[in-house]
Amino acid sequence: MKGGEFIIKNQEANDVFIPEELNEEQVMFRSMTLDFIESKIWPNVAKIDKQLENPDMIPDLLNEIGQLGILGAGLPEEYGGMGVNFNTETVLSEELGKSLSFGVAVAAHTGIGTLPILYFGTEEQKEKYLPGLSTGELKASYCLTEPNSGSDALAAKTKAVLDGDEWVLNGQKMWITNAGFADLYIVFAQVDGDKFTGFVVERGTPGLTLGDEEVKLGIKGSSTRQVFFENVRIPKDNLLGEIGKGHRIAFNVLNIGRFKLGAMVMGGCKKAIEIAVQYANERHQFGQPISNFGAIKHKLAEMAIRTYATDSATYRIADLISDKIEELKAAGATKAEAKLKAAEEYNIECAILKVLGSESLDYVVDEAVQIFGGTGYSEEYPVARMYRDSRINRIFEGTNEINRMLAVGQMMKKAMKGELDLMTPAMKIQEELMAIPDFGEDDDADLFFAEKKAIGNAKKAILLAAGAAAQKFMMELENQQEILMNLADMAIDVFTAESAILRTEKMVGLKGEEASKLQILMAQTYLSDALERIHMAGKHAVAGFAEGDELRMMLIGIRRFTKFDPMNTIAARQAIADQIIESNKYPF
Amino acid sequence: MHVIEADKRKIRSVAILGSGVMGSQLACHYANIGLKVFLLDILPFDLKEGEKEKIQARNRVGNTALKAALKSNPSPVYTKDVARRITVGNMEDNMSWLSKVDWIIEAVVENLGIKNEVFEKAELHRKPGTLVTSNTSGIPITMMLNGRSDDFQAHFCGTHFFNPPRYLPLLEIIPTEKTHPEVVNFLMHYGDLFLGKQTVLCKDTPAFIANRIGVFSIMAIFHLMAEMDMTIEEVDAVTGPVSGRPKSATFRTCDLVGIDTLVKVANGVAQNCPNDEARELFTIPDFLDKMVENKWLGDKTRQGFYKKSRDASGKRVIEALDLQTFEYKPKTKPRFESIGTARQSDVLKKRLKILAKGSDKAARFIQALNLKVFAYASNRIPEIAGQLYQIDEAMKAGFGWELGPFEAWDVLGVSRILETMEAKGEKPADWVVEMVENGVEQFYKTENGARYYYNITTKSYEVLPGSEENIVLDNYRSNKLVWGNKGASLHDIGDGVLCLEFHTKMNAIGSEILLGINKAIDVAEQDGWKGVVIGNDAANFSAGANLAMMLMLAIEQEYDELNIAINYFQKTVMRLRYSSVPVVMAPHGMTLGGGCEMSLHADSTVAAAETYIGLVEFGAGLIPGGGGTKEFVVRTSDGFYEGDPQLPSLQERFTTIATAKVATSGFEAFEIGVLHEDKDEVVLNKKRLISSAKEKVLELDQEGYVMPVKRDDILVLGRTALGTLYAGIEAFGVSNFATEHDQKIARKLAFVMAGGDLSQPTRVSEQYLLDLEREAFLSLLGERKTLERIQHILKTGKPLRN
Repeated sequence: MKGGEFIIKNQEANDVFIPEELNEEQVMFRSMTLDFIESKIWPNVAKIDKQLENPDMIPDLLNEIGQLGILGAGLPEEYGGMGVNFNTETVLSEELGKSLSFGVAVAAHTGIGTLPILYFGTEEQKEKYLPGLSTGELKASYCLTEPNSGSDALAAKTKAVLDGDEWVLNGQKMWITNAGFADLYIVFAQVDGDKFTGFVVERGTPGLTLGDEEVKLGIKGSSTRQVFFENVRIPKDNLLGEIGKGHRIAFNVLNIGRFKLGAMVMGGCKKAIEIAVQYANERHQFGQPISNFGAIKHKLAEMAIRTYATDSATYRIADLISDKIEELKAAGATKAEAKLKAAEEYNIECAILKVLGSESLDYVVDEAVQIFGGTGYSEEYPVARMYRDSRINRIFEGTNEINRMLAVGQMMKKAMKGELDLMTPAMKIQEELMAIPDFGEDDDADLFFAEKKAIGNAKKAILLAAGAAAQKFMMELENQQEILMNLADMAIDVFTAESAILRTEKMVGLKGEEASKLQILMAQTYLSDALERIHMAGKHAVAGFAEGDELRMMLIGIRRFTKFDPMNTIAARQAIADQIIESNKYPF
Repeated sequence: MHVIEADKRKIRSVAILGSGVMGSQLACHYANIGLKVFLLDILPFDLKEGEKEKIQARNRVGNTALKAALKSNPSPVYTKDVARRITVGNMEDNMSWLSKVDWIIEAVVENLGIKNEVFEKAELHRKPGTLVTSNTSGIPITMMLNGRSDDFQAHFCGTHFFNPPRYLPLLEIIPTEKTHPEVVNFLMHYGDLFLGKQTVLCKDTPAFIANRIGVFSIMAIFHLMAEMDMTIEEVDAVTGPVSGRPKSATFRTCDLVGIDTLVKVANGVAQNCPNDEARELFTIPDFLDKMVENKWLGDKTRQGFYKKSRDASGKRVIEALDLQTFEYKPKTKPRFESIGTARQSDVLKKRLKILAKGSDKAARFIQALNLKVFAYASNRIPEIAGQLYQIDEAMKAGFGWELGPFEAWDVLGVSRILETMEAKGEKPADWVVEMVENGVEQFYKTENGARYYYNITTKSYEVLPGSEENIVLDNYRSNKLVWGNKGASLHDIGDGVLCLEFHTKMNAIGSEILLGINKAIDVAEQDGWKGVVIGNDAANFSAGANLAMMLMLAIEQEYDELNIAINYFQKTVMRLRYSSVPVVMAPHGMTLGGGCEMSLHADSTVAAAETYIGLVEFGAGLIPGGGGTKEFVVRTSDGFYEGDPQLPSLQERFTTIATAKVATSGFEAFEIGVLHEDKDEVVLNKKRLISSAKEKVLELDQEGYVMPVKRDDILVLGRTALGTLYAGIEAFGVSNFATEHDQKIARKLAFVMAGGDLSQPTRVSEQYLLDLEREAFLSLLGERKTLERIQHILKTGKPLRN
C-alpha cells in the first residue's frame, strides 16, 4: 500500500500489524517505560507542574530515563542509540503518553529536537551531538515558531547572515518547548531574505537569551519560553543541511512528530479510562456504584471504542512505515534516510493520525472529568490536569485544521502527479451509480463481509465528493477550506474504521471469535457511527458547490454508499463497558 | 433589357441539368421546399436498339440517379412524397421544358467545353428573364459567359452548393461582372429564406471562399505535420471538436471529400493563383500523389487515410495510414496533456485559450496552424471576398468550423497573435496591422443583441448582415438576464417577447429547466410581456427528460420522489398551454421524449426543417409520461368526425408511440402527428428560427390571445379499444416482433390510451389521463428490464430491446 492508497484500495487483514502481536522485546520495553513512569512520574505530577518552583525536575528525570536508554532507543547504534525498530518506538511513545508534561518534554527532545541532526546533520555534527542527545546528557529544543509565524512557518523573520566564518543570527522565537534547560537549539532562520535554513545553536552562546516561562493552560510542567537571538554568532559548521532547504527539515521531522503524537495520546487515553473506571466503580450514588448506570457505561464504552480505533490506526500506520523502512534499507538507504522517506511516503496517514489521536484524547479526558463529577473539577484529582494537558495536542505539531487540509491536499497532489490513480476509480463510480444492483441477499459467510463492503462503499462516497469538488474548483480547491475539512473528516473516519475492522479481523484469526467478541462490537459500533458522519460530511461538502439535479444525484450516491444495517449500539456499548468495569482498567 | 426586381421575382419551377450526385440531390432539395423540379441528363450510352423509342429507357440516367439519391442515407428528402414533385427527362427530348421554368441550374461534369455546349442548347429554349446558375466548384464563372446573349449573361451566376445540399448550410453565390445586381440580391435572399442556406457572396476566384481557405488549411496541416513529425491520429486529435472543428477533424474529412477532389482543388489553386503568397504550400505532397496512384481515395474507394477492416478475431477495427511506412496500422488514441486539460471545459473559447498556452507538440501544432490560417485568410481580402465576415460564414457553414478564422483570432487576442506572427515570420495582411494601429482591438463586437464586424473599406464597425433580424442568443450574453438559473436563462428578445434558453448537458430536462419554464411564464404573466419563445442555439433542442436522475431514484426505489418529479413535469408541460400568454416552442435538431411532449403542448411550434422529433420513451422501457400519451389521445379524440371509424385512428397513434417513431424533418413531423397543421409551422433556415418564433408570439398576441379552457370532453374508447389493442400486441408477440417486455410496455400504453378499463366510450378530463400516464410510468420504473433499457440508453445512446 502506498501513501494515501487506502482511499482506493482495501488492505488485507494479514497485512496489518496489531498490538496483540507485540514481540517479547516490545513487551519488555513497554513494561520498563511504564514502570519508570508509574514510579517516578505519577507520584510527582503535581510537583512537576509547579515548574517555577521545581525547574530541575524535568531535566533530572530526562537524565534518569536517558540512562535507561529510552531517549536513544530509536537512534542508530553507531551514535549510541539502541536502533530499535519502528514498531518498538511506537510502543515507547504510547507509554510516554501517560506522563503528561514529562512526556511532552521527552517527545520534543527525541523528535523535533534530535531528528533534524540525525537526518540532516553532517557526519561531524552527528558524531558531535547524537551520543549526548542519546543519553540525555545533551537536551534539545526546536525553534521554529515566531510571534508572527505559526501555521505560516515559512513567514519566519529571524535572519542569519554569513559574516566571514560565522553566521550571525537575529530574531525571536516563541512557544519553544524545553527552552529553559536545553543545551542545543535547532533554529530556523532566513538567509538572504527568503532562503529558509536550519542551524544548530548551543546554550551559552552570547546573545542568546530566554524569556520568562509562559503561564499556560496545561502541560504546566513543560518548559515553554521565548528565545531571543541578538547578534548570536555561531561557527559556519553549525549550518544544518543546505541553505534554503530548511523547509525539508521542518516538514519531514513534523511527519514523524505527528505520528508519535498519535501514538502518545493513546497512552493518555488508556490511562484516563483506567482512572475514570476506577472512580466509577468506587463512587456510590443512589445506593450503587455509578458504573451501574447506563449513562456512565455509554461514556466508558465510547471512550474505549475511540481508543481502540486510534490504537488500531496507530499500529497499522507504524507497520506501513516500518515495512517501508526495511524496503528502502534493502535498496541501499541508510536507516536514517529510510525513516525519513518512509514517513514522507505516509505523510497523509501521519496527518490523519495526529487529528484522530488528539481529538480522541480530548473526548476521553473530557468524559473522564464528567465521570468524576464535582471532584473532576478539583486539582486534587488527576483528571483535571489530564483535561488541561490534553488540549495542546490539537494545536501544536501543526494545528488540526492544517493537518486536515494537508491530508486532502497531499492526496490531490499525488493524484495530479500520477502517483495515486483517483481518476479511474472515480470514473467507475459514475458507472456504478447507473448500475442496477442485485436486489438480492449478500453472501455473508465471511465474518466482516458486510463491514468491509460498507467501508469499500464509503471510500466511493469520498471519491464521489472529492472528484466532483476537484472537477468544479480544479486548482482553486485548495482555497475551499470548508470543503477540504469535510473531505478530510470523511477520509479520517474511513481510514480509522477500516483500521479497527482489519485489526479485529486479524485478532479473530489469532484468538478466535469468542475471545474477540467485544473487539468485534467495538469495531462495528465505530463503523456504524463513522458511516453516519461520513454521510453528513459528504452532504455538506457537495451542497457547498453543486445545485439542482447534479446535487440531487450526488446526494443519492452518497446516501447509497454510506448505507449500513442499523445495529443495537446501546447493547454493544453496555457489553463493552461491563468488561472495562470488571477489569477496572482499559482491558483491550 | 428588363430585369425583374429581386423582391418581385417568383420561383415556381426549376430545371436541373445533370443528375450526378449533386444534381440529383439538388433536385430533391428544391422539391423539398415545394417547387416543381425537372431533372434532365444525357441519353444513356448503352441505349440498345429496341429501346431507342422508349421514354423510360431514354431517361434511364436520370431515373437511376434519382432512385439512388432517394435511397441514400442520410435522406435528401424531408418526406417520401417530395419525390413526386420531380419529373425526370433527358437533354435530347426535353430541353423544351426549359421554357416553362423560372430557374435553370447546371450541374453537369466539370468540363468547360461540355458546360458551354449545355448552355448553348439551353439558350435555345430559355425564356428571357429566366435565371441560369452553375454549381461548378472549379471552373471560373466568367468563362461560362462566352458566346451567351446579354440577357443570359445578366441572369447568369455561380451558385455553389455543398454536398450534401440538404444538410450543409453553405451556398456560395459567385456573380460575374455581367450579373445584374437584382439577380445577385435575389439569389442571396432566396437562398437564405427559401432554401434555408447561409448565402455568402464570393469573388470569381479559384475555389471561391470555403474550399480556398479549407484546402489551404489542409495543405498547411500536411506541411506542419511533416515538420513536426506527427501522425495522422495525432493531428486529428487536436484538429477535432476540442479546437472547434467537426468530429471528422482533418483526415477523416479528406476521406469524406475524396482525395482526388482534394488534389484537384489544390492543383487548381496552385496553377491559377500565381499571386497567392502561399502558393508553394499547395504543392501536392508525395504521399498524396502516391495515394491517388494506389486509388486510395477515401470513402469512395473504401480506403484512404483510414480504412475499416476486421482483425484476426473478426472484430471490426479502424486502421490508420502510417505516412512513414505507408502501411495501415490499428488506429491509436494519442494522449496529450494540453488536449486533456482543454477537454475539461465545455466552452470552446476556454479550450482555445488553453491550447494557445500549451507547450506540448499538439498545442504547438495548433498554434502554428492558427498563425498560418489567420494570416492566409487576412491576405485573401479583398481577393476572394469583400469583407472578413464572409470568410467566417463560409468556413462555418461549409466546413463545420464552430468559429471562423477571424472569430477565433478575436478569441486569442488580435494584437497578441500579430506579435506572435511577427516572431514566427508569418505575414498578415496590411489592413489588419493598420486596424490595430488605429486602436481597433477586435474584428467583431456585440452590442444590444446586434453583432458588428470591422468593415475593411469604411474602416469602422458595421452591422453584421442578418444580425438584427435574426436572433442569435449569443449576442444577448452581455445583456442583463431577466432571470436565470444553472439550467436555463430568460432573455428579453425585444418587442415585449421573452426567450427561455436551455443550457444543460444535451439540454436534458431536469428540475432546473422545469423551474425555468414555470418562472418564464410567471414573469411573462405578471410583468405584462407579450409571450414566451422557448428556443436555444445549442446543437440539439432537447434530448428529453433527465433519465439519469430517474434511474438513480428508481434504483433507490424512491417512488414517492419519482411521483412528485413526474407530477411536476406534467404540471409544467400543461402550463405551456394553460397560461395567459402565448408560448411558442422553437425546436431544432434532436427534440425527443420530453422535448417532443413540450412541443405538443405549446400554443404553437415553429420547427426548423432539420428537426428530429418524436416520442421515444419506448426505447427506454417507458411510455411518454409528461403528457405525451395524453396529448395523442386528445388529438385522436379531436380528430373524430361524426361517423368516422374511431379505432383505426387510435391504433395509428398507438403504433407511433409503440414504435418510438421519430420524424426526420420538421415536415415529416406533420405526418407522424407531432406537428399540427392548424397551429404549427416549419422554418427552412435555422438562423431564422427564433425570430420566426418571436413573430409567431406577436401574431398570436395581436389576434387576441385567450388562455384555453381545460378539457373535460376527451373521448376515450375504453374496453372497445383495449380489446383490439391487446390483441394486436399479442399478435406482435407471437410473431416475435415484440419481446415480452415490449408487450408489457405496450399493454400499459394501451391501457392509458384507451382511458382505462371503461365499459363504454366516455368523456374524460386531461388530468384523468395524466394520472393514468403517471401510474403506468411509475410502475414501469419498478421493472428491472426497464431500468436496464434506461441504463443502456444512458451508456450508449442506443435503445435496448430486452
